[in-house]
Amino acid sequence: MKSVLYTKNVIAIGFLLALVFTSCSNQKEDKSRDTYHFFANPLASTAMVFSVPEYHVESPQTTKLTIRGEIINESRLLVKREHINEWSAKLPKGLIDTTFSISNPGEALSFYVLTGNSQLSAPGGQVMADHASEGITYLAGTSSDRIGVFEIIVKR
Amino acid sequence: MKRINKFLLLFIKLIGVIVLILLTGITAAAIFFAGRFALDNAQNTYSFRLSEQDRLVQGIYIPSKQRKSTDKIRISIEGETHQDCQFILTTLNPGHTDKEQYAFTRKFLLPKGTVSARNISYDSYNDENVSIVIRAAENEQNPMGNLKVTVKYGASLFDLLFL
Repeated sequence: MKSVLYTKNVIAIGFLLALVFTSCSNQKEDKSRDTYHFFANPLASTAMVFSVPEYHVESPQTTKLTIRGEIINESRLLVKREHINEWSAKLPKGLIDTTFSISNPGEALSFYVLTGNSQLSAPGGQVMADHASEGITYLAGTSSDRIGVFEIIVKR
Repeated sequence: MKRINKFLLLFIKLIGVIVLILLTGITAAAIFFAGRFALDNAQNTYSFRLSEQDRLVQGIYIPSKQRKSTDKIRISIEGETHQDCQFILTTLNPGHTDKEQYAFTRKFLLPKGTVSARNISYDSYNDENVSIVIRAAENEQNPMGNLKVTVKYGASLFDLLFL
């Protein structure tokens, strides 16, 4: 009788432990699935886009975007929803560690970082002969194209 | 004589069977590899469109994890721009330390008008994230144009067969 009770207790404790372990590991997985990191380094220039694959929310909610690092040339952060410019913020030159709250109507968002000046007439532009393409010309980069070194953290 | 003929007939039959087996094998292998190549090609193709609604910028981000294989990135741009634009391709290593990190940006001018740029190709590695952006030169009040950008990874069938 005693041994039956003992076995039952062991099974119950084991079951509880398994339940706690499963819930903890699920929580960890959910948390990591909701946070995305993007890195850029000083050579990244002119304009960049980051987006979270399959970033679809079922209902309108707030997306938290943190940008941390150094902006070399004054730039701009632009959030796009499909083809629509949803939200924009200026990124001043210098160190930055700011979190933005962006309302997300429930569609995939893309995050753009672009310099203030597009420098279309940059000196050094030359036609890339090996591309043999119509209407496309290679443009040499300039120091004013550099965006900065930063990381973007997106939490939903 | 009869015995030799019998052996010859058997030998010819054997050769015929071997040839049949070989032909069947080669055909099966060809079908398998063609199917696999088509599947790989479809899985490694990405595209985005620039529509009349787009202002200032539009692009696509392709994280390294999404790609099946890479050794080359091939880009085609077809359509029309309503103003001068820039095409900006950045390949980034997502390293977590400064030493690991690198980024390469290639920038092209897409002048106002028809654009038909095919097979712009660069080497790219499996662990690189890729950012492709088309940016307007003017302000964001004016539409950028109508363009389709297609990005393909991996070698083409021509490359595989002849290079």
